[in-house]
Amino acid sequence: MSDRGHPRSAGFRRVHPVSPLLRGGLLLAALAVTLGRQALDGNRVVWPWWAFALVVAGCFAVGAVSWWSTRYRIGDDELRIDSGVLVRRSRRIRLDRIQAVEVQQPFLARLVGMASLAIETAGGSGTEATLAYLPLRQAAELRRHLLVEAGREGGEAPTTTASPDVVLHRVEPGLLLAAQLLRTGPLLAALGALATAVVGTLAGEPLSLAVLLPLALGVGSAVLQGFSRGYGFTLRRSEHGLSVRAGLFGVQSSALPVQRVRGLVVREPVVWRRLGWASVDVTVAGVVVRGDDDTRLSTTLVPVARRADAERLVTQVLPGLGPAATATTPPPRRARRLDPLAWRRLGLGGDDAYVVTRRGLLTRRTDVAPRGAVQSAGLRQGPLQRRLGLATVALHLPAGPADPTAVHRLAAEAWQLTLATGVPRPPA
Amino acid sequence: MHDLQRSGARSPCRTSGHAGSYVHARTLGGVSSPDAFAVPGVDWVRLGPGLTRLRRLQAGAVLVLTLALLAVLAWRVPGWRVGSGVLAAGAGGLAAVGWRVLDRSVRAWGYAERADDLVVTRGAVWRRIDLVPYGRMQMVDVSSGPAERAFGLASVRLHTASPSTRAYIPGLAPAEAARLRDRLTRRGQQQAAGL
Repeated sequence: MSDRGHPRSAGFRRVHPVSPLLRGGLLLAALAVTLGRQALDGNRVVWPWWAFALVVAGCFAVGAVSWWSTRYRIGDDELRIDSGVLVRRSRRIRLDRIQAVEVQQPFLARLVGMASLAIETAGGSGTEATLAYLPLRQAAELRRHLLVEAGREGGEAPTTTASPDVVLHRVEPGLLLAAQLLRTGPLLAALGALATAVVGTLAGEPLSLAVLLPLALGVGSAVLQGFSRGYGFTLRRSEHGLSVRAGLFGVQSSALPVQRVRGLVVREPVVWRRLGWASVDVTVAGVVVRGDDDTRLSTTLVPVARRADAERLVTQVLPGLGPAATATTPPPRRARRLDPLAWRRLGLGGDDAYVVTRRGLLTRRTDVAPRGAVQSAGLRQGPLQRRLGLATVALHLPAGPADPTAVHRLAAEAWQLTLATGVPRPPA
Repeated sequence: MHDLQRSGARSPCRTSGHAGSYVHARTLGGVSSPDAFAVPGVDWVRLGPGLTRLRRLQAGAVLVLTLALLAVLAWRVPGWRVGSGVLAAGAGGLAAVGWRVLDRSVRAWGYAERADDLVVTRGAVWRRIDLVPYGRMQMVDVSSGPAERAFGLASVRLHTASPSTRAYIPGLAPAEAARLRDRLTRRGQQQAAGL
């Protein structure tokens, strides 16, 4: 599409007219709940019905105006989104700066076959732009188009012969559910509940529902959330790179640009380790994770997999990561005085291309950093460490789940690791 | 490369008294750090005494405010005389300790511009060294708040593509801070590497 004459109308499109309804869906649900409560309360009506009607009508009006005023256009080298009524805003995103495009389908949108597009660029804090909502087919097409345009810079020419996608991995629902239940959090909660029950029985008091119910609700919702988010998790390789698709109620699919992977973390909660399971998350340049719990789709390589599968997937995003790199050495024996429980789990290893660190008592984590991705390094030494001649080194990667940290290393070794920062990545 | 001779390895850490001496210290090769945390080949440029003065003044202001509050309490509220006396003694003790600690912590701060990277060290008890390759730097900030300006101080902060990078040098003379920023930016451009 080229810029044909009139900039105000040529090539501009709007999102689907049903969008404001979908976006307002949550508000409508809240209103319905309030109304329902009032009806249940019965005797006294706090708000007259027309007040609700007015609020709903107002919301519709605002939604409709915002829909009307928001238009987008895809030009030769930029995506332009104009919005706003009183304050007009025109945002242009250079196509070759787009890092990732996600297709998201919240529950309501999924019911009517709609999807939203979240577009990420480097350096932005969070999603750069959202197009909501488009028919699913159109959203998928647009995503493909944007990715092809963005990939041009990396020399990835769009091939005409569409090779079929290869499914690299699919997570079975049974494994996913079991894994969610056997995480460290739910297990600790169950142990806590058991302890409460035993103490309560010994003290002659029956099991208190007031304690158990919130606990069960919290654990249950966490398990359900993990399950619904990771349900049907599928990792595919297509001509445009890796892509991920998952979700029970709201389906998300997103690209996982391998050439932008800047780090990786393998997590093994205590029970998983016995069963040989692991989860893998990646740090992707330009994909910012909001908060600790928010492991978004595009940073999850696999929510749970058997170790062999996990290792196979790891080599898909970090080629050449062999056993030579992943073999780690523990810190000196005297580190046990600082960390008597977990010092055996600590480790540091690596080769010319990668640095690997291990740590964690209950949930063991293995962090991998490509040497070329390390931005800076921080060496720390507390007073006890100083007495023992040990130090801890954190390697700083772009924002993401990976956080390689070598704990309690010999001071000389720690300094060496720090100095190795910024050594350019050897040609692969 | 970095096998500069460490001059006067056991010399006391004290930089000479007048402000701006660290600028000369740099050109003379820097003041060597006296302890084992100093790594071979790194000559730290230490901060001048201005930052210690500023921090002490700030701590003193907090102490005076606290004491004034306690005095009002002891004077107006019955039954608070002993309590506020104890608290005042505690605050005084804390300030006496803080007087030394502030000096130590400022003196533990230092930086070194090496061939390929900037190294910043800080902390007297919990120590840390941050190393940022010039090629990784995205931005260099020079900032100077009102209190810092009154004392003729400025600080330099380095940013990389990682939010965890903590390379921060306070207590520089504004001119030196600006020079440092320019040098760092120039080297960053020369050695620029991708994300």
